[in-house]
Amino acid sequence: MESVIKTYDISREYIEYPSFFKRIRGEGSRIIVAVDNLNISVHRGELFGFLGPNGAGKTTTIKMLSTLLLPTKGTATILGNDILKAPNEVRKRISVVFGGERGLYWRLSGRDNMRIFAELYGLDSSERMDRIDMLLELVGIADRADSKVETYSKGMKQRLHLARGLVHDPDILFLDEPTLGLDPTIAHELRKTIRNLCTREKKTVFLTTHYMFEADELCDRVAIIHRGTLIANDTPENLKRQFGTVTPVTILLRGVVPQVEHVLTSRKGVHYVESGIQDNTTKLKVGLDQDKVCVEDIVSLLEKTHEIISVEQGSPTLEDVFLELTRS
Amino acid sequence: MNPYWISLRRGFISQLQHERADILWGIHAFVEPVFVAFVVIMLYRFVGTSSQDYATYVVFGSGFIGVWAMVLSFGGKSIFQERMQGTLELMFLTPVSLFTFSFGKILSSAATGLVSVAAVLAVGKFVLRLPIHIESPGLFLVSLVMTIVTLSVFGLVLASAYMLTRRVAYFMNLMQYMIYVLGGLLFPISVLPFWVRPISYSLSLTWALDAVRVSVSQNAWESSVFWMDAAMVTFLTAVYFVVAVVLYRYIRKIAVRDGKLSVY
Repeated sequence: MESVIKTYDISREYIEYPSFFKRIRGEGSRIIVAVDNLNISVHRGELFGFLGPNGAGKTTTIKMLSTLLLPTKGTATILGNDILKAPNEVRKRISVVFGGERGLYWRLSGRDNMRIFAELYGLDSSERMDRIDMLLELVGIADRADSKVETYSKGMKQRLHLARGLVHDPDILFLDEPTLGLDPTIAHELRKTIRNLCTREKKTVFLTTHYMFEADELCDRVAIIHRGTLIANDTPENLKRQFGTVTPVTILLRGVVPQVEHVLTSRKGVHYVESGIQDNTTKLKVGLDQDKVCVEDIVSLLEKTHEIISVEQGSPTLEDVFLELTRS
Repeated sequence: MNPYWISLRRGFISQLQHERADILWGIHAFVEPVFVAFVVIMLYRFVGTSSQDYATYVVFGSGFIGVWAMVLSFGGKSIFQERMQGTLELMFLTPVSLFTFSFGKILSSAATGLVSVAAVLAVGKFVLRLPIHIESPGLFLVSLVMTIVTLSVFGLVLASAYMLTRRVAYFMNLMQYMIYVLGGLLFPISVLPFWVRPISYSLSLTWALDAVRVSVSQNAWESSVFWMDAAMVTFLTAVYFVVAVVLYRYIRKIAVRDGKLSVY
């Protein structure tokens, strides 16, 4: 299978100084490794998820791959072009869509925003108008195309971002947390559009997200990065099979039970305990390594002091894999 | 189409669209220069200067204060604004030149600032009855174009320099008043202390405004002062342009090296 994105030990370090004067004198510097010898490859037409906690190096990686930031070591090729030697060739064939509300001209209409980028990418006037109309239709904001962006909802702005990113028909799309802060309905619609970009438009999508269910639902393969280092890279199913040794168990207790997690966390085989209170019940989500402890042991322990309403045993999700990998 | 032309044109149009959507535009273009003109007339009258002597300083000085305010407020901080909005990175990824895009924006601000000159000229001539008669209309137009271009190039230097600092508002205020004084907008630079004058002479605006005043008050075709002014404007504009290119290239380099295209 053809690799359209390939990295070769790509790394990025930042040097931090405590003050301006120490920077001038070169004293007290601290090296922060944002990305460390990353090696990944993404195939043509693939929807590739790039996951990691905050500050793991996801956005730094996207910026290096899109030529917005120079790596301190290593390199990458995009569609065969080296990001260091042929950045202009790379830029023509990619697009970056950042999540959030920045990156748009708020005082202009959605159509004017599109027109600016269509012109700058050299689309001629007849092609430009048709393409803008088609893309605004595709992302579902054609009816508000002539309203100012400042009047758009967060979801509409995000959809405009996506349409803007597609204006020059790029081969590869880098999407940096595109569903961040969107309500579930809008996020669902946007996910559908992103999936269609791969299946119908044959685009390659490099997606970063914090939402594990999103990556699970959308991505053909995912890579997990933690503190700048790649810690897993496979299909969601394989990752769940390989690393999903922790079984999530949901236990509902009657009444508000404060600090119940302390009873469980010290037990062998309990990987994590999360608790929440709702409608006079306490909901516990416990991650168990069934080789070391079984559900019955936990239930009988809790039964001694609390009234159990229900116990539900699930199968490992990508989120469980993610928590497991990033915790260790 | 040539990518430089595309970005210049697009920058020009985008800036027009932004100005149209901004109420401050009207204040910079009309209210501020006309108000300044009134204040300066009162001051000249207070010290008993004849209107023949101050008319061109009041009208074109105040008018170009409007143009300068436009260049500074809308054009000069255009790259900084792109960075704040998060559009600078996206611009950077397009195949056209960000430099010419910014130049188009600043040129647009300066050109639309000409309404300030027209407004003060109209108020000066018809409301305040100032003795203004344009002796060399052709060269007057040439000198206006020259002033707009040189201010735009100067704005381009500022636009690049603003990328190096986060305290843009502070520098904008500082530059605004410095240029009023050093550029001899409202009074001749001969009244400035001797040691300040070299700075005034290094500003192309000083020469450009002198060319405007000469084309209004005499037959500029036969005036060696006008051609000297034009030569100095051309030379200084070329110097500013080179500085802007070097500065822009440097900023572009460090922005990618340090990842500061979206940090503000």
